Amino acid sequence: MNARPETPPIVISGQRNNAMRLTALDEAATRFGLFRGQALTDARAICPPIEVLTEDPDADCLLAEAIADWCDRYTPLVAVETSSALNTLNINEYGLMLDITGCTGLFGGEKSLLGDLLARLFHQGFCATAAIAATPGAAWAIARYDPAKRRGSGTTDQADRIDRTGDFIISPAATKAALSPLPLAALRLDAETLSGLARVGLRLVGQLMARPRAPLARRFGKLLMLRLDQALGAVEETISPRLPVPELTAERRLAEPVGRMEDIEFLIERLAGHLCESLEKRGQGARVIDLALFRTDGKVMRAGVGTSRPVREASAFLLLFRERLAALQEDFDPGLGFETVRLSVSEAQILKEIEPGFLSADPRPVTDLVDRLGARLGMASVLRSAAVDTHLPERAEILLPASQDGMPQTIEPLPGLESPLARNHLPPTRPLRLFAHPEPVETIAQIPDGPPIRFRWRRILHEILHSEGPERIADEWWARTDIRMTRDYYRIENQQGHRFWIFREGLYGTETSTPRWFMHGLFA
Amino acid sequence: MAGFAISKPGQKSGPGLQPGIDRRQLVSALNEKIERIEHRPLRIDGTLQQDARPRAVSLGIAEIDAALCHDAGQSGSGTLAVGALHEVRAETALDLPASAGFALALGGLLAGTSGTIFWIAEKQARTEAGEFYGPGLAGLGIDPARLIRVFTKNSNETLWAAGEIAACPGTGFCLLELRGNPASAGLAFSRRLALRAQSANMPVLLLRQSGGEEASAAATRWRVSPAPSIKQADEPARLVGAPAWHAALEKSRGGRPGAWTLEWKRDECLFALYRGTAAIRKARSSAGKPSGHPGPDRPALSGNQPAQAFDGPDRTRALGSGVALERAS
Repeated sequence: MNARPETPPIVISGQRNNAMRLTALDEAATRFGLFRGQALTDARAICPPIEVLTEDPDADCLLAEAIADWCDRYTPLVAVETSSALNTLNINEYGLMLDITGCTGLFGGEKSLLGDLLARLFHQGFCATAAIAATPGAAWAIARYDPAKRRGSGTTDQADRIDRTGDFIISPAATKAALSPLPLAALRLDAETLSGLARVGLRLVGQLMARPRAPLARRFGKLLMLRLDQALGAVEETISPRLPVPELTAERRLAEPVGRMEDIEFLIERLAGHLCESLEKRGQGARVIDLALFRTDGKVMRAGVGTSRPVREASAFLLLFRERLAALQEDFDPGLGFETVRLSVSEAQILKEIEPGFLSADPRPVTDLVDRLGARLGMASVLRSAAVDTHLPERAEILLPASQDGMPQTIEPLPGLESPLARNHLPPTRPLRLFAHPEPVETIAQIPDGPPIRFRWRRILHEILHSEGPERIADEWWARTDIRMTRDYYRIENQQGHRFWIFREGLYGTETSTPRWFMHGLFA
Repeated sequence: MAGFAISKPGQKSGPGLQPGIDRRQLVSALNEKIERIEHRPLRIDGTLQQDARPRAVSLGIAEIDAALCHDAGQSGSGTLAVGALHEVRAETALDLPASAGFALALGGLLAGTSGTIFWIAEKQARTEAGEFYGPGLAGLGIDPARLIRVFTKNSNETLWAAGEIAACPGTGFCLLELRGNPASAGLAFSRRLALRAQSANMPVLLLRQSGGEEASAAATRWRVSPAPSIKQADEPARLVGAPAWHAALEKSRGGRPGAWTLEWKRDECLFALYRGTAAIRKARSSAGKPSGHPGPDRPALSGNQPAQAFDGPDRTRALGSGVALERAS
């Protein structure tokens, strides 16, 4: 955190073991000799004018995610790592791990990439430390425990840090030498292991490296040696990127930020053109396309669209994104403009050119329509149903996004499902409209396990003229562990001809003494 | 037909483009000729519709066809326009399933038994009157796989989606569910929908629940409520039978209003007049036939012989339209 010259020191406090303790503090507070983990009362005694804020772990997490989002400009492989287990205060410490293999060329080398990253973060108000090393473990260690600076609290001057950025690029050959003088905590070890190692006199990574491995592994577990090997590169370590890596990406960096919708649409179409060329070479079409707009102030806006068939026309991309961006409405805030526009294909599929049949209708207008609707209203709002082989009425049908895997023309009717070719004279046994949550009804029945003679639903009393049932549907004991009560369904009709599907939950006498009635659906 | 454009405003006839435009004009003219021969509608751009969908269909019941169109007898063609907006109204949420069933049936009649059905409804409507249920749709003879559900957050989104769907060729039909009278769904909106339906030759059904009277550009407006279910002659009267609906034609362009009680023959996807259980029983007792043995003069709704159970419209009217009219008035 940067110091604010005129204002009192700021500290963040949180409750730890029934005491308010400092969990984070700014540069000015450090100058007064405050430190993390100190009791808040002590801190106030040392420096009365401090401004105290309560910690907000959710906001911390969101901030880390937002910065990670922004770091996407350097590489698609960005991971957010937290290390709450490693410190005694149980504070979530966030760090970002970027795999920049092969990306440095775009930024003029490692040094200028690091400089650009730190300078841009500095202008957004973040004081960051960064390191480039051959392994994730070494980079983690150097970024946090470089001997040239003190731990954690940003005591060094900002300008000074940027000047010294070069120091933090460790070539693969120098990894061992760079790690040697660091404390053992740099190896991402938990507090228990560290204190154990301290008891046997090991404090620095170099000391550990000089020891025979077998006794150490026997005493402190395999993790210790694994961490050391990971830092030195003897064991491969992969980072888990927070976003799936796209199949294809096209991006445009702009000298002048843009904010107008027309400009963005123009850029999308140009980028889509590039992507379509690449897709054509692969013989593929896009199924999921993501748009990322990097705002000048570091915020990243993302929007994705899905298609129900592989698409390879730039105009189709644009049509979908036009709907998607229109749906954002007030959420779409260009601020001072976007400096980078990136379009990526996250999912691609082999595109088979289909000639529309001579007589059959072309299905493409309908699938395109489904995509457009999904882009504007959200994928979860455009649904088709699929039959499920179960007796439970509310599970006999599941709703899936209509654009998920093409559009099946017909769903094979399952044995339990009423066939469309049922006889005319047989009345439908299932209601046309089903309530997702059965609504309780008050009923009066002549006998406890018989059909009701009248019932009250939504405050209206219905006299029952006809009833048919019960159709007993028991829970599927073979599929589930929490068994619900057996239901007796009745089709009933009132005097006006309204037809209802109601059920009694629980078998009278064996499962419950007071069965309850529910309205589950309405017949046409 | 005035629906197609021979030259578009954007196409300036430069010397290099001349042959292309000639060819397009030629194709357009030929298409027009085919359209005249085959009664197939043209699209706005002068190309033929992919699916040979008729302009209008007949409801199959002479009485209703006569009410829908005064000169139904002469032309011999359909009486209910396919590419039009049809409004189906339900008084209350309780009547909605019956109205929805009627609207689906009407849409199936207009658009045929294939093609995607789009159901647009607001999210909160799902809790109010339930959601379409696949097995229940199958019970009415509608393939659940045809239905795509589109849920919207507000009426503006509903109207946008309806407009998009109505402009899309190759769709079966669009069922738009509205509650009450949203301000944005006024006359201008219904006129826009009607125009889009007309140009795509696709039925748009507006299912409206508990809305007041409002001017609309719909070709027909129906008020539908459930009627006591159809009992078979030989089954106990206490059971619940197949659905029947009171359908009142409140408005019909070029026709007159009327009210009937209808049943839905899901095998043929046709409506039929329903004469009421009482009429069936009366007919049976007067004929003196033992139950369960369908005879040749037995009334139509015998459960044993569904294929032969539907007699012609004239005979149906003779037997029981009186009951239907009495109920619906």
